[in-house]
Amino acid sequence: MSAGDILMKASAHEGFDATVVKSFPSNIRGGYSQSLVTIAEKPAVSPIGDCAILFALSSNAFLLDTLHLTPRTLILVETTAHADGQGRDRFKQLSAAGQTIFSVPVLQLARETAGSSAIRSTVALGILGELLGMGGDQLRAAVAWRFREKGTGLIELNRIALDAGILWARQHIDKKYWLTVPRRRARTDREDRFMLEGNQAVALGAIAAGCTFYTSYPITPATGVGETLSRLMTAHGGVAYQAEDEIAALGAAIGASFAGVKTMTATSGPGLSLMQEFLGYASMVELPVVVVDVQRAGPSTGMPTKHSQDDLFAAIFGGHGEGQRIVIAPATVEECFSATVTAFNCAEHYQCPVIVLSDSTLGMMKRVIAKSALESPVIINRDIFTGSDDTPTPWLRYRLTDSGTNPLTIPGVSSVTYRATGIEHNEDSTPATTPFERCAQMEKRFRKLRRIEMEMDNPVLWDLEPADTVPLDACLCSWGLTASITREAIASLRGEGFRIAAVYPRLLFPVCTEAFNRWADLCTLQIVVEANFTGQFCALLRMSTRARPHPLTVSRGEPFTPPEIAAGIRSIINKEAAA
Amino acid sequence: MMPRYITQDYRSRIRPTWCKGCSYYGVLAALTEVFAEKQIDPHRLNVVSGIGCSSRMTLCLNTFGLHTLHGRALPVAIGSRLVNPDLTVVVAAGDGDFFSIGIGHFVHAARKNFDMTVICMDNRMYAMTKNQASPTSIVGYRGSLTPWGKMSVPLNVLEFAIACDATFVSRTFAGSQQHMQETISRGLDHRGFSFIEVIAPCGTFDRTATLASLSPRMVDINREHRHDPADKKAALAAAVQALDYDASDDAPVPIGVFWENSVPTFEERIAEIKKAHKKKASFASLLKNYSL
Repeated sequence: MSAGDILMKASAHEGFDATVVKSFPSNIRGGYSQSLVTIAEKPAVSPIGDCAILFALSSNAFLLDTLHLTPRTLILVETTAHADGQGRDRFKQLSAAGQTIFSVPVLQLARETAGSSAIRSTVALGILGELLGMGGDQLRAAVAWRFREKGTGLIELNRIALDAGILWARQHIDKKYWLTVPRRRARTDREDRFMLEGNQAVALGAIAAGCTFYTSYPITPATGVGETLSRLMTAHGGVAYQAEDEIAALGAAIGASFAGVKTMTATSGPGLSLMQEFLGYASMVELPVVVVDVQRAGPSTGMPTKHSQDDLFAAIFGGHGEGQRIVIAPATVEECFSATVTAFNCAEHYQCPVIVLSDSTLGMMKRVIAKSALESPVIINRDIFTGSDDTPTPWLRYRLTDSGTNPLTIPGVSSVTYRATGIEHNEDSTPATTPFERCAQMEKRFRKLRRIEMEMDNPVLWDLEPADTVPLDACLCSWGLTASITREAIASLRGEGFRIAAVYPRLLFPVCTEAFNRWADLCTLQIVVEANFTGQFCALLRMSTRARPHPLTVSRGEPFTPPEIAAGIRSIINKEAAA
Repeated sequence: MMPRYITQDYRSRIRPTWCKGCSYYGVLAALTEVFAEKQIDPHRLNVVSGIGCSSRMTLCLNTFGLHTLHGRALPVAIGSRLVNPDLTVVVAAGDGDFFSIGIGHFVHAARKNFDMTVICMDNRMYAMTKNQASPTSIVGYRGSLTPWGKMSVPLNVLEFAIACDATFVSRTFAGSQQHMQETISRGLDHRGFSFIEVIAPCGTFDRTATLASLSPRMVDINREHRHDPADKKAALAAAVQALDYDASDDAPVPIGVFWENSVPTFEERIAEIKKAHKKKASFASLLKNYSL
């Protein structure tokens, strides 16, 4: 895992765009883990793609990691991982098929030079760096950075292992197999570039938005948000609180919101299930609160570290009754920052819960980000009424306004008090359950979000074909991390001559009906790509717009790859053409 | 000098939903009396409740308040205390709310010693849903869901609160206005988690205990037994006995302050950490942690 970080850091120092996606089992140690490092000249669209080099350090990696392999992939495999059994068979099979494959005695090199097999991934890193023409300096610096808290002894051991790898590559791998990566000047603007995980970007987004109270309960893969905020909040003058469960976490967030501050909690699917009753309460009492769901593959414990987008319906429709909520999904690490800021702005403006749907891959992937992506976002604060001599009595907290919203009064700040209640109420928050009062308040609450598609900045991102003279083959839609992967698939399909338009919603709910009706009118063949079994966003569009899209889905714990999406789209287009 | 606030200033225009003669009217009166006595600004008071007859308390007051979910008053109250330690926070709910559905929150709120006054109006049943057994109902209690009698022993909430390290554990009686006011007043003065059990029988569903029948049996352990609330062993012993009043119709019912001690509150511990980070870090300086 750390080898991926080091390679990413070294590449970034060389001036490349770099991303690392991690996949690992739900253990403290052990099991088969993988780091997928993307190094690119221009910012990569998709963090997932075909593998140029696969370095398999275990037989598991060698046998199981086939998702990103192509016939052109250069495979390096630890000698002991293909010594016998299935490993030996696979090695023979691949060689016979003409795959470029090298057996590398990584373990042996690690033991002989650094005296420890635990350091084998650093040997592999040396080999990889050499094949990429990186030069040892950047890697050495990155190794020193990665182990800076572990002492000079370990840094020195790693340096030895790194050099052993570099030397081995020079002696054993013919130059023709080296990747020709354009030489670049090392960049000096390190201060203005940041290496962030999706979860960290969410945390920073919360701070930038003005959040001063964060509360959560530990859960994979969302804990990173809390780990970041527990430290940053204190430094920033706020409070981070570990609650006894997810119910208490959202409860405390709502209590803090009532007391006047911007609040957030982060969780994953099981936690979102527990929060449903309080989400309904926040809708009913109309208090701003942000809930981040770093989705993992469910139901039940499911696959706690694995990728999925299967909480969409839970985010939108979970819980009893009908309450107004907003659901937003970032597609990149940069958007984890901006979507969180947007979530706070929406919560404050519309006075209702806002759910940010991230996922395990997006939350834990690391990416190099420019400062400009994190600078001075627009911030909206709630409308607070402090009280005046002519304050109407009783105070109408839930007045039937055209916008549906009213100013809030804050304990200790405003002289005008009110009691928030989850019971249906009238304008002055008195319990009231006559049909007339019920209808008036239901309509008022839903009126708030009636125009959100028009009021929000870029609720969807369009990617249209430049000329509209030739009919389209298909129009595409995808959301969350899958949108980033889909963009790359579409680029390659366009290269093949397919004409495709696409829309990527950031606001998932309320559904952007205007945009999606327009989208439906572009082409009769519509496809929604997402990482869940039942095609949830696809179904949502069928339910609430003119669109009649086909689902293209995957639910396996690993994200789609661009070639898979391209193949899926091609197959749907061809099937439709034949029909 | 004329006091700024009178009792009536703490009452909202909402009329309670309680039955005629309900013991909760007394609790409401005691609360407003104590608020007025202490002259707490209504807008600096946050009264948080759960769901049930007793939790309607919030709506009857003219303070700030949150009438939340069944069993979830404590976490909401905690959130408001954490971001505004200047607020006086009172949590009011019933025995079913605190000790059945919400018992998990009680343990942690007490243990963490948040500075709030937690009032459990204990009628030993679910009244709003029309008579079901609660954790504090006696063995054999016939509720609508336990027609053959409740099969578990009652929870001793005082013993439990002491075991949870609540720093103020007391019991009072809805039939004694003066005792309630004294106890609530002490609870509000106590710096930390103040737990007050109010014996408040349900006049509609409880066929055995009434305010009138219980009244002569009340024994203030501090006055009459010279119980010292600083003595934890004695506090636990008194709490263990506190449940025995069902043994006979004339058994004494102990009330008073069972246990009180002083340890830093959660909010004070946070303030300590904040003091160490006096200078507020700018967003730009936080970002530096992640620069390449």
